[in-house]
Amino acid sequence: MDGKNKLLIVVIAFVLLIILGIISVKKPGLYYEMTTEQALENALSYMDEVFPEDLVYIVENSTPGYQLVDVRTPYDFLKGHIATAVNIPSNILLEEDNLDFLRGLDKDSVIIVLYGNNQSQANCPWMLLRQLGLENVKVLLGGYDYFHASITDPYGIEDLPSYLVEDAKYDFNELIQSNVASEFSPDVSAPEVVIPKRKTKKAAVEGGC
Amino acid sequence: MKRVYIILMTIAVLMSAGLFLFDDKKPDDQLSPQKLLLEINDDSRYWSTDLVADKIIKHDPALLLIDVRSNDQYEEFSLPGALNIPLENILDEEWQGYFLAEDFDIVLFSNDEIYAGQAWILLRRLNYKNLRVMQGGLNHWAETIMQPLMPKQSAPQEAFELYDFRRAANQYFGGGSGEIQPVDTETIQVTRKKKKSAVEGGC
Repeated sequence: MDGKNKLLIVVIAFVLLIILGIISVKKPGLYYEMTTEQALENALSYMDEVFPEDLVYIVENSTPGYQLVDVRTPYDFLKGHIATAVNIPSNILLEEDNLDFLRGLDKDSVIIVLYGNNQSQANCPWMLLRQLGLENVKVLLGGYDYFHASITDPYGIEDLPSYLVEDAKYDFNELIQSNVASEFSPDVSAPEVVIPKRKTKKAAVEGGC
Repeated sequence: MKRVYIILMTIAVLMSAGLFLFDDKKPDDQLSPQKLLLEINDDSRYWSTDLVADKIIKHDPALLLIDVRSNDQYEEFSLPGALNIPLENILDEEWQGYFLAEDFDIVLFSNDEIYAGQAWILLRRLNYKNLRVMQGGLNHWAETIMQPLMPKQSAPQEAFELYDFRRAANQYFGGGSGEIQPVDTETIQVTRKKKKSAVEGGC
């Protein structure tokens, strides 16, 4: 009888352990609703990019159906932000309150425009929210820096760098060529020194005749 | 006693079979969204252009540069030793072996850091390790390594040391072209012509 009791205890412990394991696996509350392939396809379609010119129009006319979300730090937000934007720093983007707020907007088909100081800062938060199934999240090209500069200088007196940052700014090969010409000029001239020596030798033969 | 053993064994086997089924439903080798967000906000996922230049110059064997731009752009210019995997092909089966090599520091780059960042977040979600993004991309590379700016006189010592490094790196990356050869062949032709004239002089 003693042996049977021990066995029973072991069995119960075993079953409990497995049940505990199953419960603990179920925990993560957030799921990706897009596969990586779908996310890549979406990024390559450029459908979620908002042009700064369009946003200027939207902000100035306070077009309904848009919500700007500033993913920068609260400090940056206080220093200056686009009118009507709310601040959700990217490090607390997935906290329950924030995600519920964004999900609510998304369900009401409000277009959520994320922006950071530059496009890169909002790029990954945008990719992440899209993969979590928020369909109306978009990202501002050029970010706050470009937007602010274009607002304060509406006539384009100063040359703004393009907000299409993935275009090559320079002709890289030309840069290398110019480097070779300027910094390696002694190396290039070195073989020229050899040329006059050969010429003089032949002149000496001529003299012999 | 024997019956008890049989019952216990069947329970154990059934439970473990159940676990297998459960595992099949959730292929969760992907990084959770919360962890991914933590890494998004961690700046150590970026490598500066200076660090990348330093590793290239030192021929770091653990460095794997991946150019995610289009094939045309890659053929026009890329970093030395870089592999070209255009962003649209980054998830293709044939390239996955490269990302599995965990001994490598894999550095993704494009003209800026947008495309490289998108490749990074997708690959990181699939839980590939040691992935970095070159900060600012090739445009920033051109500004720091190819055209280093002299710091102001009041700048700290580190700024001058960085400037010296960048100038040295600039010479390293810029000095590879051999334009001297065509000049040599021309001079040879010229000398041959003069030989004939020397013979004429003898007559």
